[in-house]
Amino acid sequence: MAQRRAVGQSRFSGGPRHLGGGAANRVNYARRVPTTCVNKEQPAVARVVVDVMPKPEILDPQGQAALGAAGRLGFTGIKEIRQGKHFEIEVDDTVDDATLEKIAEGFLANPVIEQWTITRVDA
Amino acid sequence: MSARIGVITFPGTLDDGDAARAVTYADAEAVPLWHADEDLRGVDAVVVPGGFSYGDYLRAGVIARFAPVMTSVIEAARAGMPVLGICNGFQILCEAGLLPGAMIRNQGLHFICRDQWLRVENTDTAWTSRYEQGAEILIPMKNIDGCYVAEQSTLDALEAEGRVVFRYVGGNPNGSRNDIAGIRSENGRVVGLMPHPEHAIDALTGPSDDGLGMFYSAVDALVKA
Repeated sequence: MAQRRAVGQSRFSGGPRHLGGGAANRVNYARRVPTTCVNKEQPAVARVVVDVMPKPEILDPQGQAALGAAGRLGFTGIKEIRQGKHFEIEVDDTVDDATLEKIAEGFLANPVIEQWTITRVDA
Repeated sequence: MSARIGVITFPGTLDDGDAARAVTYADAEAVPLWHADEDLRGVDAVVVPGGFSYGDYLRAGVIARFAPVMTSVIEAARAGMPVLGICNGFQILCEAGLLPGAMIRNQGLHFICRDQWLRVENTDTAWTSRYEQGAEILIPMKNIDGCYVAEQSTLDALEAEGRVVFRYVGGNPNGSRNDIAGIRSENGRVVGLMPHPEHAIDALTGPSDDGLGMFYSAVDALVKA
């Protein structure tokens, strides 16, 4: 019958090899940081917020469900909840307002059911 | 030579297998089309099947609408090629502007999965010519963003021009305006509907074989062309 080993005692002589070697064998991750990024000029980045909301005449079942739940939770005085989407976009200075309008109208929002606002905010 | 009908697969498409099977049942050749490929491989018609293309991220169908294959589908549809959008495919065709309106979250917020009775309201399309006007058909529906909405002027035009192709009967399941389950383009070549005809082509695997008529209709339209 095999001899019982104490918990944590290696069954190989010399200990587990993959942990050996000490500091000399450790990968120096710090050295892998590329130095080429440093001091390089970055293009100006602006933050843009696009808020998309269902049109007032479009039914908003999610907002209605939240409104109902708020009442059941005991919050009083809440008249209406409408649910939309909030996009935070970072753009460089090659992106003009006309392009942002195209992105909002043709992609982030569906003009059939949604309306949107575009706001440039300070970074 | 049998008609060649393409079936598109996007990342997240679920029903391309059943759509291809339905095409084959109608004695046409099912040609797989890939979302990232502009080549329509010489097909005579296209089915945009259901599922959750691109995870329905942003809005159901919007990212798929910009896939390379859709550029070719939009161009071909405008030139008169028959195109059928089922469920997510219907949403994609609406986002692409081939059909008017949009789908929003179901009233009541439930994912609805059941066999649904529809009335065929218009048979003057490439996809419904085999049905009798007013026929009631039973096919599965399974979606959460199935509530059809459009501006009142658009709804009025759809009704006036006979472009409502399918209407829910036996109660409106999801709040769709005017009980609309499916619509067509002005020329009747493009049809979109939320329920799934491709799941109802054989009584062994579906509630009926009522859906098969859509694929036979397409084959008829292509033979006549």
